[in-house]
Amino acid sequence: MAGVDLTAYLLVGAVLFVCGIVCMATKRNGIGVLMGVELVLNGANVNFVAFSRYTSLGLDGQMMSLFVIVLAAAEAAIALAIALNFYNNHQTIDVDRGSELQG
Amino acid sequence: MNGAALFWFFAAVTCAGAVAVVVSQNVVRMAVWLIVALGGAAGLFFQLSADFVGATQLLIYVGGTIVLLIFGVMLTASGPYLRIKTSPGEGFLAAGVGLLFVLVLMSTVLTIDWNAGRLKLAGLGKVSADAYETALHKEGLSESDRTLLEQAYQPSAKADHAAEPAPKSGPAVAENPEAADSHGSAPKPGDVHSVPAALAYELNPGRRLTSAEAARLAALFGQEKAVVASAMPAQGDTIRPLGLALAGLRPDRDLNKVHAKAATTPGYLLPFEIVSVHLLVVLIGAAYLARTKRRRVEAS
Repeated sequence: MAGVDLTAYLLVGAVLFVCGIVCMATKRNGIGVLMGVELVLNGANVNFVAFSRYTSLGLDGQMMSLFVIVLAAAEAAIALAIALNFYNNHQTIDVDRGSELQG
Repeated sequence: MNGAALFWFFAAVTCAGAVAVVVSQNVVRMAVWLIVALGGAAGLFFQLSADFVGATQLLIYVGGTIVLLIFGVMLTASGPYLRIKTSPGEGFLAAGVGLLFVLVLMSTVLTIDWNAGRLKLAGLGKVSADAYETALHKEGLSESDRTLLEQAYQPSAKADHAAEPAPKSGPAVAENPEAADSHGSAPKPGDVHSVPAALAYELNPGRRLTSAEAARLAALFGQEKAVVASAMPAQGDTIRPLGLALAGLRPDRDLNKVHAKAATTPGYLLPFEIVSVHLLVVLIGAAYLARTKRRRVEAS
């Protein structure tokens, strides 16, 4: 494992995180925004598992990443239900159209 | 070397998939690229010897969540190819901001010396001259370990200032040559002993350590438990410890307890129950939200 260290994994996590943020900010499709959230959560997961391998965090990091995976599944289920309701009401999934609640 | 090549392969797959998710405009293509990115992340987890987390990622994320997302795409599609474009100006702005953000994060990650931080956390950021000399003149010290010790540590600057007026009273300085003799392992002339002024040694900030070197240094000072992950098996096999931790038992922590107070480390029983109840509530809520409203429409 010459040359591969904690830093390399943290860089991959940073790329995943930023891709997710940009995806959430630019996509006008509601499902696309959800995919951005999944990318952000995965970047956090990569960081957790890398810290669990290379520091004294031990098993706790892997346990946190398992909880994050479960939370992401729950979030996807709820957000998809909301997206379906949005589509039923507006006949589109474009999040820019959901401006009825603007004050 | 083989592991490093595999790591770079999986890292490239993950990053390329993530960037393709951002760039592509078709939702179905985005979902496919997301599968690639998440599968690459699962490969990274296997590389980190977290076999159970990697398998869970493949099963739940790639097998479950993505399928759910694709069902969402199908149920909300108004045409055969759903395409809701972002305007080019917004795209360029987002690319610029994202590039800036990733540069900030990367410079932060690269600036911090994580391995020296681990040694400092273990109390090895600054060691006394006694401990340093003991480690340097241990029996059977290999040549690479000796050079590692000499390169990683330097005489502490503050101790130098303290040592300058010391020769008038200086019992500590006068003690050093005797200590060197009493170690008796035939110290070579011309090594660190020729500058006996330092009372303490601190980590050399100019020498970046790898994680293997940090672990080796900690072992040389007899602190390997504080730096190396305590009971993490280096080659996977994490299913049994994870299952025990979910059931509220932490043998990995308890066996390595430092003192008696740490004997009862809390396990993950309570978070496990909370997250399972949360999952149940969320699924019931999702079913309630997504139910058809045909009956109400007919009534009205």
